Amino acid sequence: MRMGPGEHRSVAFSDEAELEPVLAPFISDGLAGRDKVLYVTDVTHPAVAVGLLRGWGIDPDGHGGRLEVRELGTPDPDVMVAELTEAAHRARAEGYRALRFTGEMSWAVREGTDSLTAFETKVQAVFDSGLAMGICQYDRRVFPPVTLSELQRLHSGADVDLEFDGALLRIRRSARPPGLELDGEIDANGVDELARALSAAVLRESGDVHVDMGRISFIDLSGLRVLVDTATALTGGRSLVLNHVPEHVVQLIGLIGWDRAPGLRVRGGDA
Amino acid sequence: MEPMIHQACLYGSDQEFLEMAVPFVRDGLADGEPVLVTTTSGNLELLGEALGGDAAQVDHAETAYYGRRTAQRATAFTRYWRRNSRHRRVRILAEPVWQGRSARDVLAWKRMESGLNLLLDDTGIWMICPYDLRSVGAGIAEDALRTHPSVCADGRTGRPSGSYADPLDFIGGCDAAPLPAPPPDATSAPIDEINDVRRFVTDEAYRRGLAGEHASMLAVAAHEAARYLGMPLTAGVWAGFGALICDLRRPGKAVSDPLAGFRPPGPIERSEDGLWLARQICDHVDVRADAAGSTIRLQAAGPRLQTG
Repeated sequence: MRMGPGEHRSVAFSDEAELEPVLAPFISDGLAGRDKVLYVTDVTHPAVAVGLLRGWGIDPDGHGGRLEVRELGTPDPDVMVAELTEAAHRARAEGYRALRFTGEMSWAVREGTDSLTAFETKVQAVFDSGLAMGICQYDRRVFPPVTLSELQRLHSGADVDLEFDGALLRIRRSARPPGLELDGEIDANGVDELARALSAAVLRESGDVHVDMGRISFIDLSGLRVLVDTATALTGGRSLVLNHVPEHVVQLIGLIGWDRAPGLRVRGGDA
Repeated sequence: MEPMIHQACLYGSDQEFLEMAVPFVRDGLADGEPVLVTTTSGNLELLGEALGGDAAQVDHAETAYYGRRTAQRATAFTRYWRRNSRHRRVRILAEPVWQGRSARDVLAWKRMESGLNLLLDDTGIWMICPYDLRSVGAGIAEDALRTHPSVCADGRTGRPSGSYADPLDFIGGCDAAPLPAPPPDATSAPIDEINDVRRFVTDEAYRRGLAGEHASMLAVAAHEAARYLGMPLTAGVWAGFGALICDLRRPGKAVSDPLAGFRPPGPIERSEDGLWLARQICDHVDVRADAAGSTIRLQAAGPRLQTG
């Protein structure tokens, strides 16, 4: 999902790999564009977060102070929002378009729901100013489900299942069947995001991973290869199941011989 | 890896065909080698009777169904070899159909015969290509000696064919004639973004009556050819008899490998994989490069194709 100043979203995750499809583009888009990035950790040591960024292909040292990773200081909503406001103004004063903020919200489990609601409400004012945009990280392993669903209403990115919203391709998580729904066209412009979303889905799910292809109007060889590579890398009897595959894509997969790829199941439009 | 053995067998009678084919197949089976026979239905029947019980161990296909186009045939051979790659030697008796083909088709098949020397170079395949002198013309028989390094009459031994041509030279000769100019009613447009290639081709295909899966497949072929060629380019579409033709022209870029797109994709992605897919989808794919640039011309079946 490509975000702009003023937006305030959340990501719920149960494994760090699930952060990548959301945070990696958020941070790299900022560094490739005209933004500063602030990454505030809570339970994760900043050095570990820096390692995660490296693993996602982001060079944490290569941007001359435009990317800062630091540990949360005082878990007080007023103090945190004041610090964020100050950092956003400083970014603007330094000539940047906006501040991209992302932070671990696990402190709220210790501080309580009131504190969390206060933070989320006050921080919204910072984003509304247009000086900043943010993604709040919620670890499913520590937050009660009911808190998570309440939080989703506070975030403008209420569609937390939307993993990528590009010009030609949208990728959405699906719960039933577990996996992804794809919508649009897949070529070089979406293939990296597809690869990321697939590997996150493989980690997230324990059984078969389903991909709904019913709204895919075009997929090229590089896109098909990502699907096949994901399928053949699966172990333990798991499969990548492609559902509602358009007829001409079924034909393509057959031509290439990938209909026999281990771990791949191709179901046509009637599936 | 063993080098490929690629031999022509020019025969003039059923007897001569069997004198080559029976020992070739029997020796292979005796050594536990995979043996594939792809020939006419007439020769399959002859060979089956001569082999008796041994015929059951022979992999077989009627040529008409084993690669309708040259790139499909070359792919079928590569796949047969990959499926049997644990064997040091894989035997293939491969007789193309020559009768009734257009001059363009005959040239494409000769070009492939020559190209196989490079495409299957280090596969350890022993391939004998029978040519029936009762039906093939003199030109085809002469070129068989240019496209096969050796000839074989007994299915066991070979001798130099005498006029074998370096495959790149032979293929260069096949590609020497320029492509016919597009007709006046062709629609063409300069295109900067690759995703506009498939939009242009799809729109033009629909305008000429090609719809549904056929239009989708042509769009994929054009996209993959454009990916191979690079952007920006000029695309053109027109209709011929029984065909829809799509030209992609990239100024200033020289495409060099004349056999690109004849080898099927493997586990590692290669830049020619997309061109391979285009060659599987289309009836003809011609690639030409000159000082001004490169052109890929795709020809797919037209909207009135009947498939039974």
